[in-house]
Amino acid sequence: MRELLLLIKYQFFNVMRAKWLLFYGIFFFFFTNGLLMFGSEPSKTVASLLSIILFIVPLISILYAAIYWYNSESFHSVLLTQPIQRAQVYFSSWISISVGLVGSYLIGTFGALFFHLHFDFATLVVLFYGSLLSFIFVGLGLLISVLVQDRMKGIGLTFLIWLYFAIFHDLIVFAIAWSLKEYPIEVPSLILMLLNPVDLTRVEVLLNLDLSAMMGYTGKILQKVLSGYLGPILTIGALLLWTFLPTLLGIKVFSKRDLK
Amino acid sequence: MIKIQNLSKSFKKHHVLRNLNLNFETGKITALVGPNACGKTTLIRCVLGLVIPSQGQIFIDQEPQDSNGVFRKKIGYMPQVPSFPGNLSSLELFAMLEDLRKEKSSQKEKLIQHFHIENVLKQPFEQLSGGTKQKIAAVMTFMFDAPIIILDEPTAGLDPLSIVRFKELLTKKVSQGTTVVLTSHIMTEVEQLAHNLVFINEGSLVFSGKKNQLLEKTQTTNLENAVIQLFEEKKN
Repeated sequence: MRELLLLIKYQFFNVMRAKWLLFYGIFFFFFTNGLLMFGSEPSKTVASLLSIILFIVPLISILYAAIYWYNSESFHSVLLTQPIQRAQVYFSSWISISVGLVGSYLIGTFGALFFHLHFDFATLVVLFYGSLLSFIFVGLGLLISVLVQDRMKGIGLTFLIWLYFAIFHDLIVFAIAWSLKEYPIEVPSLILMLLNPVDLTRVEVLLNLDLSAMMGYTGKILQKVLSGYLGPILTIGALLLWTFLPTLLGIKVFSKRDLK
Repeated sequence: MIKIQNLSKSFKKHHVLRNLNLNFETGKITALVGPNACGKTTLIRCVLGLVIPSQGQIFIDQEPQDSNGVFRKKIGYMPQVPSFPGNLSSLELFAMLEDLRKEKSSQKEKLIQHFHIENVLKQPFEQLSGGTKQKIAAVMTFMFDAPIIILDEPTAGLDPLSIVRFKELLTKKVSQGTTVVLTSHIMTEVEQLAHNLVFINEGSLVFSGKKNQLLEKTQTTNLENAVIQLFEEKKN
């Protein structure tokens, strides 16, 4: 445990000094600031913030994690000539990259919120789930990086995965729903939603805030199904699986891999 | 001592190491020699636990390598191209190793002076020249008095004065009982430093023994010619 915390500390120092994170934080500061300056009503501001978080956070998290991992491969080899375990190196990378990205995005958004003295529960819920999304996509980025040794193919694949979760998945759900419009489609839609962390996050926020205006097609169908006790348990359970499963799989793959 | 027993490694269908049996003697420098891509680096990486053998075992001081990596506490390793997080300074990197090994280095200051790197310690690692990075890696390798030192082409990026200082340090450590495994393509360096020699070709062991045994075997007067003869023998 001590080694793990030390690795997190030093990897975090390294992550935090990257200029990327500075721009990431600045982007969220100006974006939130813009929403608060020009937004007409609070629910629309929260909805716009959620939209951009669901789009930008997964993209930056998955890409940054993959690039950071590929850039750190030689360092990991050197690190693993010290008396530490591979699982510790992998887990510390996941935590430090995620915390770095989440910290930067929260500083940016909170900076703007402080500036406008705008604090409400809905915004905090959106920011919390955005942070969770960052952990999920950093985990996916790292998993792809250990599975695909070729850097260019790996980074390309992370982009395709983001594209799928952010755009194509909902289109597929829509196509299935359209072609099966004569049948009850709640259960298949529910299964499809569980397979996409972006949709899950959207629905989870909507369930918490009752923002029906923000529904994607998947969300619209599922708000009915997921109201009550079952909904939050299912969505939170699935989100936790999405958070930890890629990292556990990544540790398993990394533990058996030959290092360059 | 490092003992290698029936060690084989394949990457898919490509056999990189073939049933190697070797000992690296305590308190001696053993040079690993062979043509490019003969398996030297893979062998070193197997000893360090970075590459997982397809077959066989490696014993460090009579104990098999453990999966927790605790055996690495006994090893100091200097890579051919040192790579550390670019945003961290050398001082932070030294502190990181001390933290991870749970050991304060008593040698660090002396080594920093030995390699004249006092002025660059606070600079981010990525801003240092290749030679300076190599000197930082040398400090990291020797700062814990590890009983085993593994050096992969250690002098490749060093200036002549630093090479002399590096060799002085190495000789001193060996006189204190440190076991050294060294890879180098510079035969004069091997001749000057190594007590024992291991020649590998296409993953198989061709020769393992003392320098003078190789000279006797090949009936040559210097190591360069002896090694060339081994290259030629293997070709034919």
